[in-house]
Amino acid sequence: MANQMKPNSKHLFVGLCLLLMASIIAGAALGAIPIEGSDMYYGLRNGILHHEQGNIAQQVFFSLRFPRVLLSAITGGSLAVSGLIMQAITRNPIVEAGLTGTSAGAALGASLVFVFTPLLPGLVPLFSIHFLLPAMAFAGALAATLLVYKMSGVNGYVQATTLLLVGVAVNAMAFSGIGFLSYIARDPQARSITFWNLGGFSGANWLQVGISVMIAIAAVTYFTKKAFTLDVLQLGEKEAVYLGLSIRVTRRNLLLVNTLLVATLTAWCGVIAFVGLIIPHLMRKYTDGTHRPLIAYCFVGGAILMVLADLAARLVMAPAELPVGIVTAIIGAPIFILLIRKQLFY
Amino acid sequence: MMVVVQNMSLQSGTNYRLRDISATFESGKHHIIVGPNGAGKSSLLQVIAGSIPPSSGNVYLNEQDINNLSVEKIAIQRAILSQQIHIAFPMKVLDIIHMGRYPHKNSEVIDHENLIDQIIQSLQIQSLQHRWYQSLSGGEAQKVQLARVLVQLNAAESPDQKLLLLDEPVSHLDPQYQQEIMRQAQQLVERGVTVISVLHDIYLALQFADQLYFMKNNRLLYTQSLKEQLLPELIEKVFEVQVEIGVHPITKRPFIIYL
Repeated sequence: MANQMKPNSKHLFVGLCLLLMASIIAGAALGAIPIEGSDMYYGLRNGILHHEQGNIAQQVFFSLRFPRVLLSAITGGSLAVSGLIMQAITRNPIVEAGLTGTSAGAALGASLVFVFTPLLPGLVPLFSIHFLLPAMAFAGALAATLLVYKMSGVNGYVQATTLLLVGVAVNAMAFSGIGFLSYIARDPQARSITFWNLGGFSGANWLQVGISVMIAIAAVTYFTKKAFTLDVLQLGEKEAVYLGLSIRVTRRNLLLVNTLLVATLTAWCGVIAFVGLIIPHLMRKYTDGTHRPLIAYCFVGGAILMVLADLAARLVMAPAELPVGIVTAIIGAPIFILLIRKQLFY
Repeated sequence: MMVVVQNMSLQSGTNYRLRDISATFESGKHHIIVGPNGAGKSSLLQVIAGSIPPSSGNVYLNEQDINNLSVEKIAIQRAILSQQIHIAFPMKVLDIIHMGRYPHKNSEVIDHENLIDQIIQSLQIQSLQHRWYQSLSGGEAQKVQLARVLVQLNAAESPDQKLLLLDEPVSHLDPQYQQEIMRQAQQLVERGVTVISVLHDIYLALQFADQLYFMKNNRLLYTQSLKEQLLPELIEKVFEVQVEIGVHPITKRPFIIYL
């Protein structure tokens, strides 16, 4: 708690933003094919202006590498903010989308799309898969989140330990559903389910980036507008009601927006756990604990972590690549255990 | 604010938490509810606060039925100090005091900076305002919560329309803080605010009450103005202890001795 650095330091925030830009450039430059600065510039210019295709490096940069790095940044930022919001609602530091059923529910919804759309060919032209996938992920995420939330509430008050335990159970249910789907699926679909459950950005494209940017901006703006409400929630639900906060409506809206955000991103890149846990924990040390700065810090911090994790996933076993979910879990799981120990013994 | 409770009962399932309670809480007085554990004191306060709707009967705040008032609307005129609030994440004292602005966040009339400065000064917590809430002692933390509650109450403006509820506000605090917090409440009473408190400490109740309410077994048994002679039989019946009541020669307030 006692910290040398002044809370909400502008210098630190600017520093984080610069670090994010540096990470994005590094993420775009490094990989199976290294890309130079000039190729980035021409690749971007030709791509945007629909000019004739340049060399291989320029094409790789514009259609593969750059959207991938941007999607990983948006995803990391959004998952960190979403973890922060879940923690604010439950007043508990060991809660995030990967642990409360939200991500697993989204994964189940998306697996259904992978397995059943090939069986119903008429469906896909009607609803483009780019919208069907997030829509089903949202439905699954919402169902799982509501189930966890309703089951862990006593008289409308949610107990954090119960929430985590019910989350474990609902996660197990969702993953058994996913397991069943990949068992009955044909080989390519099964592979895409497996890969997707480990999380990764290799399928990133500009359409996904566009949709994610819109949803992320909308959600983060909404949360920032509700920053004071999130602060007041820290007094506990009873006190928040005394202050005139209508708790049911507030909690429902926050959960809905949060689920939409997590589900959309999970639909593209699969289940990536622990980012929503580590980043808010870290950023609380550098802010005054109010949610307006915290949301901004968490978004930038989460984006940096994810861009670097994705870079690591591409470089560790190059030219093959690791699913990024494995990288975040290796970093995140020990921190999660430390957090639980800290809660138990301090 | 005038608070009227009429034949009000509160049930959960077949259990009565409050049974047929009627009382009138006039403005500008300190009303203190006492009674043994589980008598229903806090439940009564919760109903008056508007956080639990009564199962039958009526509660009126300034002649308006509480069932027709939204939590947002009630929060503009009444504030509640509870016992000990735990905050899970590190936060600054000043940010917690600012939370009292919440029900008035869209008001352009109130000069909050000025109001908050005044309240911090009157509670003498200037030295605490930039500290982390988690580093405070129990008594200091409770003064900070009182500051937040006073910001919400904004008693500078039409104090006779305001209601302050204290739910065991000084349990587990040192005598110094008990006195400080109760005296702050007393100052508000003198300005015309209605204060209704739940206390289990009968010494404190006798020191500060204008009107005493004895509860037992979910019923309101007696109401007694402290202008009258307080009868030891009342306390003996409610608390099942033998007492003697004296009157302090200087303050003229009653005090009790357990026999």
